Amino acid sequence: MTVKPRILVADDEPNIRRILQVAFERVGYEPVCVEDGSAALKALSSEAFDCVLTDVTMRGSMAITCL
Amino acid sequence: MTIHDRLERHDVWWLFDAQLSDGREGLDRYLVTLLGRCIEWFAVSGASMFLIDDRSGEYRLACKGGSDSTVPEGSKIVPGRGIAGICIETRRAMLIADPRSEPELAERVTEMRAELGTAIVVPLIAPDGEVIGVLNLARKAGMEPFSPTDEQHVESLCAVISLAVNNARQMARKVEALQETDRERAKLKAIVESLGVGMLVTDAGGQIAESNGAANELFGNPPKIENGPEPLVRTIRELRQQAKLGKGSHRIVHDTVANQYWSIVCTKIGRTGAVTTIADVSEHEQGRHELEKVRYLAEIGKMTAAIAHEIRNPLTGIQSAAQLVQEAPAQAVELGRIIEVEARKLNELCNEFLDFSKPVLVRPQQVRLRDLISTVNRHHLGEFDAVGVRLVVQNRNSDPILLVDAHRFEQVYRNLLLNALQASSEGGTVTVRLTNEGFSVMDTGHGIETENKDKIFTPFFTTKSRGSGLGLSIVSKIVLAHGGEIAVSSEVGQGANFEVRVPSAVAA
Repeated sequence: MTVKPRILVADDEPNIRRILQVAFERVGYEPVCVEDGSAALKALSSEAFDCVLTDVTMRGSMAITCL
Repeated sequence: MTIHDRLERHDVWWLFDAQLSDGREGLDRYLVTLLGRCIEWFAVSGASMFLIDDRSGEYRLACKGGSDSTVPEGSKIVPGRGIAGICIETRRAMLIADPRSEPELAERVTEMRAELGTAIVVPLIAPDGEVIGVLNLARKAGMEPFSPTDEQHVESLCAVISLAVNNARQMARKVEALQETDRERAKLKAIVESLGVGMLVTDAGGQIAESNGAANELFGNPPKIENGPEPLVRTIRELRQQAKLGKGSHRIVHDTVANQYWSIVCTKIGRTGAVTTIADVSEHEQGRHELEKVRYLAEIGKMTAAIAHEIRNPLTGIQSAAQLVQEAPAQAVELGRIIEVEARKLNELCNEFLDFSKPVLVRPQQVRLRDLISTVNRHHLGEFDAVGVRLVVQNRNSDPILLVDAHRFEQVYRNLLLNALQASSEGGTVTVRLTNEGFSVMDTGHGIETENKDKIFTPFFTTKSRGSGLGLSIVSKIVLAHGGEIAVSSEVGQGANFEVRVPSAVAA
């Protein structure tokens, strides 16, 4: 069984996060969803991802730092 | 003919009827005539009159005459010096029968002329006691010397002359003052003319009593109110009524026919009159309207951007969920819920825009603030729990009754409460406090940057990643519509406090 590509999704809108999660799962990715920039940084420091998808304007935004 | 005979024959009436209305010139003519008559009546060889100068207080030669007058032009008399000077000082008439035979006088008389025969010197004393001048009459040596009777006659005549001269002097002062007033008036008139602003003075009946050139251009020459442009006529009449009641009145009038703007100010003068100034402010007003239009367009621009941004987010969600539901029917329920929530968001957004575009109408009624606040709190308690923020209500035992529009005031409170929640992070506290005039909502969130404090009530201003930026603008509109006020205090990092106060509150 092949290892699924891991993608980190950061968005402060829960519905958007959920839609992206369902969508990425359907095309064979393993999405990890977080709600803001600081959570994204935390996830990045502890786990390895193949790709990061982030909203730019988020509450307590650190999206740019994150990138 | 002696002076007595002349007085008997009323030949001296003119003494009281000098041509004094011409000011100084009239007085000078009067003095020349007077001195001429004295020379004739008293058969003197020299006569002179000195009068006090108003400004310097010096006695200066006012008039001289006679075949033997040697007084130089511009002579002055110093009180106490010379015969006339002594006369002014002692305030008494003197008859000098022979100057050389009066040693005490001779000592003080500096200029003694050989040809001097006899002389009569009489002070002119005004009714208020001031010595206003002195009359000198002289007969040269060889002529019949003056007698004490002559002295008496000259003295009686001088009593009359003093009165006449004093009157003339006062008259001259008045004429001068009037001339000064005329000059001032002319100066003012020139200023009023040069202002480029129309000025009308109207009397009690509303008729134009005075006007300047700029006003005449509008109201004709001679000017009549009813001849002016129609909008001006109506406004001036209205403002005049207001001014009569003592209200300062000012209005900008737009003459739509000529596309001109007029600034009209009407002020009451005297008991029933009014002065009206009419200035053409077309350029200024047109500039202002242009600027307003530009501002309006800028606001529309901001609004369009906000609409586009705010609509696109939920719309993208709906679109993506709708696509997914076709590919993954198993998740239809969840995706359907997402579509519903996002669609509701769009609907709320539309309401906000509608709210903002409409004028706020309030229907005040008595509202128990305590009930309003607990109802809203109950609705949103779940959201507070979800983020981990505490909601505290202070002063909950007080029971203020406010005269407000219940629905609108609830909207204000809900908006401020949810704003406070959104500004807070986990572990924070939102404190609501009831007051007799309204309430305050305080949070422990990130606070408001100083440079943003002035902008938070501006439409479309937001620091949030989501939102129309209309919330506080609508809140402020509603509070103002209640005649109330909203105040904010905040320190960055220390949270913010919003206080709403409305008038006509009834404390229970």
